Amino acid sequence: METKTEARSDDLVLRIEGIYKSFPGVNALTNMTIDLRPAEVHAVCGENGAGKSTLMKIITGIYKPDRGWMKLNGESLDIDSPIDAYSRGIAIIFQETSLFPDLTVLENIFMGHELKKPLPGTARLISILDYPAMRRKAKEIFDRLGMAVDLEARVADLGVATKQMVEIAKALSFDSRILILDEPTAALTNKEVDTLFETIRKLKAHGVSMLYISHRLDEIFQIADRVTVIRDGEHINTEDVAKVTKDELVSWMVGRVLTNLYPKEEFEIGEVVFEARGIVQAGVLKGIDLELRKGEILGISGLAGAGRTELALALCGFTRLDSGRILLDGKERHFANYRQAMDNGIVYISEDRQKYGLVVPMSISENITLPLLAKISRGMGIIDRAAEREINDSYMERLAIKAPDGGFVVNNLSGGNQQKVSVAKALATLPRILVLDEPTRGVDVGAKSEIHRIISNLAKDGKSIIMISSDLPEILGMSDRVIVMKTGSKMGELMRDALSQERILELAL
Amino acid sequence: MAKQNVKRKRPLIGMSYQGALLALLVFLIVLFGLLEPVFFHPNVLFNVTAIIGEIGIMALAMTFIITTGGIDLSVGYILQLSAIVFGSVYGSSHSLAQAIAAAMLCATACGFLNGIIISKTKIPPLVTTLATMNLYRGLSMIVAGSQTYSGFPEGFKQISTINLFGIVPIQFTYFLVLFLAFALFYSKGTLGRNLKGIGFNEQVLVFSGINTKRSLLFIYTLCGFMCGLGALIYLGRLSAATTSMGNDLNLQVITAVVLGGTSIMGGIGSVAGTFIGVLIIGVLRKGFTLLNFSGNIFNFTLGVILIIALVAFALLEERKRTSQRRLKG
Repeated sequence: METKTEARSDDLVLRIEGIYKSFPGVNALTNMTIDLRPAEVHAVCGENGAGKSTLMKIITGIYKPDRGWMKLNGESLDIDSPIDAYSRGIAIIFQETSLFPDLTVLENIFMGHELKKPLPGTARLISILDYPAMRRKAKEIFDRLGMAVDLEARVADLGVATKQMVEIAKALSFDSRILILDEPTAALTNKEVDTLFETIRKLKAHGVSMLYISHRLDEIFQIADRVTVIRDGEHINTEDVAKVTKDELVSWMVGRVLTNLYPKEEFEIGEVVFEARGIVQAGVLKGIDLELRKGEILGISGLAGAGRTELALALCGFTRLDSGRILLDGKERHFANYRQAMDNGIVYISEDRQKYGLVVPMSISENITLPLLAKISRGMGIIDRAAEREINDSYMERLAIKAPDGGFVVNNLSGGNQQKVSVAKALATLPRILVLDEPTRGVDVGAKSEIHRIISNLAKDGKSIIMISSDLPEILGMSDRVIVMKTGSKMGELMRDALSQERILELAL
Repeated sequence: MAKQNVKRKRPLIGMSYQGALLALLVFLIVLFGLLEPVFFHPNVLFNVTAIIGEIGIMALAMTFIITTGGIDLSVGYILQLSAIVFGSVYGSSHSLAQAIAAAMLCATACGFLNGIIISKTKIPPLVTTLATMNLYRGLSMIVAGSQTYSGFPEGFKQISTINLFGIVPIQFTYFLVLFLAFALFYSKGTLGRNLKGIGFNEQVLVFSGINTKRSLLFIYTLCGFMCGLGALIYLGRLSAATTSMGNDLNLQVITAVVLGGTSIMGGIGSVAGTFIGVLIIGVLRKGFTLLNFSGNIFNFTLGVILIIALVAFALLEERKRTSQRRLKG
């Protein structure tokens, strides 16, 4: 779609045209187009995985685009690295601050580009740090932001909001004319958000242009001049904020026609097997209730940072509960660690295969039997190779893992096959309840529908499944029931017949 | 995608490497034999196996530790401290049983202390055992001062002076038996599997419901226990305990393990490789003694070998990783 509000292109501070970027198996960005006017706040919104982060990483030189071009103030722009971006006046403020906690505010602001002066009497051969100059400049920047921050304070002692201000001050110390704010309000209280917006307005008055990435639609209406919606790596629409409604934005974000990709089968759902009541973890989970029935697929939806993985870890005994009860078949259980949850038939499959799921330099069979070594070993802890092979072969066949044999190293498998090994490893513990965290992240389309069929078959066999997913079509296609979370709270529960992307997004945003 | 990646598991350290190591061992024996023909005498050759008893036993436990990506710098000083404890307890009680029990208890406790710190905190093993190494060394100095404990009964000395069949030193049979047991648990046991897993990625094991802390505590404690055994064998041979015992053993033990093909990065290792590595160290030590090279030259040579082995493995690992990246496109 074309940009409706054309500005004369020589007015534009930043112009990005026809950017393509793909990763193995994924087209992250397709023909992406966006521009930035002088002294404007341009909001960018879209679902998880829409391509916002990839776009920002291209603008700041972390990724190189496959195709397409960028112009800065009408001149062709080719950015090699984040430092290069900084030196051209483009700075990004990440969700998680990149400050050094043990250094002072001043040291952080000038980290890597300290102001120096020659040491007197050394004929300019030796220079030393010019603290007075740095203090002057930092003070000037904070004055411009309308903030008073103690330059000598240790960053670790500051609140989240102040840290963010330091981050912004750091960006301004490079004389940045373009600021990218990635979910800047994610960790802020309402009052802090107001302060931040005040700062943004001041920056705007000083002629700084900003790309403002956010899930929170209300904020976009408060602070942005224009908004661009991206979805599945494509530019969907750009419009003046004054001319759009929230409903329009949501419909652009969702937009997609649902293809019936998932072999969801309908079958009898049994009695409640698992219940969680009032699960609380200070600052993370705020009293979550859920129940899970035999043969049911319970989807958990929500944006990144909603506390979904934290909930899964708490339910599986990885982390301690501050309060709340877990009931299995109506009887209360306490899981002191994951092993105890596993012994009760609960298994967790991590979203991050490489980090938590599989020991990738080890073989398929070594990975599958990792949780059950005690069960397949004879006296003195000697592994029964025949039993190991039998387990390995049966799961490799059942899940159609494509590899010559169980001795094959996991590292050499494709993402989809690696995920199947993860699933095999979980199934080999003979669970009744599976907690799947992003079960199809980073796998190609073919493997995705295969994994969906495996999940469906498990439910059909009477296993109960909790499926966390950021992939809305996957949630809609697979779930019997969906819980939507936001900032550690359960926002609502939707039955299959009441499911729609709009309903989920309304609750999640 | 998967087809072009058909590759057998673990080509990095297979028999070929241990074959090369064996060849190096034979080469060294021949070399020393040519330089000093008495080296070929069976008594001399078997004496090599007598002097490696204690480092061999410690190197077996060290193989377990290095496989997890850890290290124990304190082994030589655990040996020293427990030898001093043995001497001191025997000197005051004249009870062999009490002395042996005290020495073994002390060594095991030292290993346990290493293990408890390493498994319960995030302090790296290198730093932990650097600190405890000085702790144990300091303790043995305090207990013994410049004193030499001796006068142990003949019966005790026999634990490392008897020759089986008139020629095979008995401490070599201890090493051999322990080697077989360690090799079994390493390659076929759940313990070995856990240790390799910890070396590659401990998080995954935690997410598989495995108590990795318990495994770590166990192997460091085991290592202490093995140092105690080493101390007894060493004492049997020297029949005196002094605070100079064990000073250079850390280097020998670690060099034997790394030379044997156990990756200092963790995950990959071989008990058989350690066995050959220990034999190579023994041959070098004997050969250098016969050629009248000083102990300093021996230590210098070990340092060179250790550096070469470390750098070679690091380069191999790097090349393997980049070739994998290329495969994945």
